[in-house]
Amino acid sequence: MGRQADRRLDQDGMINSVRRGTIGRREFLRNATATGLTVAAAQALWAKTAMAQAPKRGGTARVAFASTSPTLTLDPIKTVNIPDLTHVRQLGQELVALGPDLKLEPQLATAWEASAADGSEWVFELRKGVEFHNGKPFTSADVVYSMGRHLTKDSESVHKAQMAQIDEVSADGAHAVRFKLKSPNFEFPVAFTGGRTVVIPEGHTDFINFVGTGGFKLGEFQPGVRTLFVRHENYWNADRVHLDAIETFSILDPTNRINALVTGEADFIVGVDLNALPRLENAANAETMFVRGGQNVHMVMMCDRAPTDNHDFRLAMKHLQDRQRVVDSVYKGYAQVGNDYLLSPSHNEFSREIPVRPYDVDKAKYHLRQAGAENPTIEIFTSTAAGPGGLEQALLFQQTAAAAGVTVNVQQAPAESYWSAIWRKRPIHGSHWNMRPTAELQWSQLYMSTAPENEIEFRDERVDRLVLQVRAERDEAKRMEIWHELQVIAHDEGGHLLAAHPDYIYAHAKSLKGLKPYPLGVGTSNIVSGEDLWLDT
Amino acid sequence: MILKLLGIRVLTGLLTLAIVSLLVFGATEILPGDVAEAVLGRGATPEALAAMRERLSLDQPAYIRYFEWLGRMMNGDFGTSTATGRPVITLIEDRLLNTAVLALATALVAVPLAFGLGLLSAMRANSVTDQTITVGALVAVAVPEFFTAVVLIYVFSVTFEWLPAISMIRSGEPILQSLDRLVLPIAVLTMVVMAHTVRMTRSTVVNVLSSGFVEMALLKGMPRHRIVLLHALPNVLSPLFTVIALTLAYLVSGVVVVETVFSYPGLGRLMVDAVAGRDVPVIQACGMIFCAAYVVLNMTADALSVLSNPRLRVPK
Repeated sequence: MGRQADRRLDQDGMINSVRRGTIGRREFLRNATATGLTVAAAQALWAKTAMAQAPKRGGTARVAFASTSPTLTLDPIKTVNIPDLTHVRQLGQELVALGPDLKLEPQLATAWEASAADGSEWVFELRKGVEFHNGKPFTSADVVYSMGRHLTKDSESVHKAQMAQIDEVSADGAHAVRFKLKSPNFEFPVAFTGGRTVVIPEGHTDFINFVGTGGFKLGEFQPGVRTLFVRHENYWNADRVHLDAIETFSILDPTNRINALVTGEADFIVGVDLNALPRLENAANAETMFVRGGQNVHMVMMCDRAPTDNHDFRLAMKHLQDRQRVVDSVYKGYAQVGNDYLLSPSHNEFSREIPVRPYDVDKAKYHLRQAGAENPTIEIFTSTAAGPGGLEQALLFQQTAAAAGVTVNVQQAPAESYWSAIWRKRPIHGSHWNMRPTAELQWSQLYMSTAPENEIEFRDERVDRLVLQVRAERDEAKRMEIWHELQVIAHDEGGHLLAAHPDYIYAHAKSLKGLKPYPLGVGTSNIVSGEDLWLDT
Repeated sequence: MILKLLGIRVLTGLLTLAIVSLLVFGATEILPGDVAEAVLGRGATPEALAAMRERLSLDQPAYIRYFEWLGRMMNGDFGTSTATGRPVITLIEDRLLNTAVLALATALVAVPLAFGLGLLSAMRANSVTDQTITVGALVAVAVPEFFTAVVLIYVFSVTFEWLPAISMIRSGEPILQSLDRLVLPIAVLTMVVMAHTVRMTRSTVVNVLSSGFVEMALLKGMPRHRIVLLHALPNVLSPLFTVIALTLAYLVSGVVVVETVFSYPGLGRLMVDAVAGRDVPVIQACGMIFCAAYVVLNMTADALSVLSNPRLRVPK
């Protein structure tokens, strides 16, 4: 997005132009970056400026997703696919929420603090005057019930790993909840942001008629076809809800998703192909939205099996990634350069002191010699399921690795069974993760020995020790030091071959206003909560 | 005599369905992965998997589950969708109606059109008209339907903005009110199914027109259109019923591509989605409905053939 513009406008003038409606978002961003703002700052400025228009009330926003299946469930503890998570967050809310800057914001909790000095006990003050969709008032009993569902022995929760740190949850009066942890964790509250800890009324078991506290309640639910959400009149934050309803459905075909937007049958579409960008630029009623974030589309080198169990071999592969070329040719510039571990410049803990590993054929040859594996032939398994651009990345790697005498066979596996048949089974294979908001979550899910999704099978006592240390550390500066150390280990020794963090690309009707760029992807964005959105018709 | 013939057909139909039920069940058994893996996804823990398998009694032997399933189905109970926890029947109802509407509407357009073109072709056999119709029909069937669909959407929705690009049907919305949403899917499907009927009609009529009794009629001085309508046509009816039945059965079960391109909520897509989600009760129900459609429609076609053909009506 670093396009050059000849004209230089001062920022105040641009803001006025937006208010008058004389310049659009794309031009605004181009000019704003030309005046020296970073893209993220320009996006935030745009959001703030565009928000200054007075919202109109009413209307239905129609959202088209890219995936569907009738395995849709509205039980928050079991949601895994994007439409499910979106539904649950549309209807319900968690104790805290993440803002566009990845900082925690109050939601059902108004305040929280570690009640024990070492961070092993936490108290959350709950918001008063909140009402569920069925009219029941929200109290601490609802929180205890909703969290308890993750903690039972035979729970089918997919969020069990993060919740396992909770030893006991108890009500502290009607409007506060106390969590006792098994070990200290100053980053504990972020566990309540994944969508799986949405609070439901005490004793509620009917997930066909979901009841939450969100700004929209369930109007109609046809699994696999469409869902209608209607405004919750007694919503505690009603000032920020302007739409009458939100309708979500899926259009699997990428071309037809764009057709639906261009012909006015959808107001927001998720998942835009880079090839389709020119078509959207020409459409008079539609606009593209690029959101910088920590999405990971990468290759996994499993550290527990040959040939990738060799440290030098892995380093050789890492030096054969031409990162800038991946960003420029696979993602046409809509990506951030990656540095072989799963934390992006969008994360607040990201260390800017680790230099980006260059494309260096000589070093790669050196490490191959060290590994005793000169001119090797390797197989990379990937699939269209392994993230946007995953297959193209593998094909590009095939070319860049050839310079060091590495023969790469790219094996394209069927998308349907990719995650069960290939992922974590083949030594080198493609993988895809959406961003987790904090380094702590990335490491406890992906890098610790106990991490359930340690796809690289890299287990190291130093990593475990440092993560426990960082959790128990209150001082911000010291924590950043430990995070730097952890990133160095992952960057040098880990098994991720990560060249780029692709941007999320969406498109929306120009009449849909109030959208904000959330780096975590659509699931946490305000297209889901519906707050601040309005239709200018 | 007719009754006995029909009785035998019904019995063989039921037998076919019984065999099909075994095949459907067997096929879902050999699908790799199970619903627990599919529902819990990439991050499933072993405990969560075991808990879910136990709840769904996936740990029972296959033959027990087969007979339980068969027994329930005979009582009209398709079971509960393992993925959504809803009765399968509620998932299927709307979809079946949508599929039936699309299939019937397509048949209403495609069959008369194809029949007419076939007749025209036969009456002008080997003329330019005949050749144009034949080539046109073959090209229409040879072009993949997603391509036809994309071209039609581009022309009629995006360029001229006459028709909607997606055909989503909202539940409770009277389908007749959204007829404009059906135009493009019907057009695509018509192109797919027409060729068969055109070719069949043409060859049968050409065949009949070269037979002795038509020559006789000609010699009697009968006008050509009367020969075709009164003498040739009755002979076409019997194979025509078969072709219509097969066309309808295809339209009920085989239009996944069109449903996907137009986001039309039909039964085909439900089944494909269910396979992706390993939602076995839904897959089984869809499989049985598709096979039942073939069996019933074929049986009806046979019965109508018998009734329309005097030679089959008289015992030998």
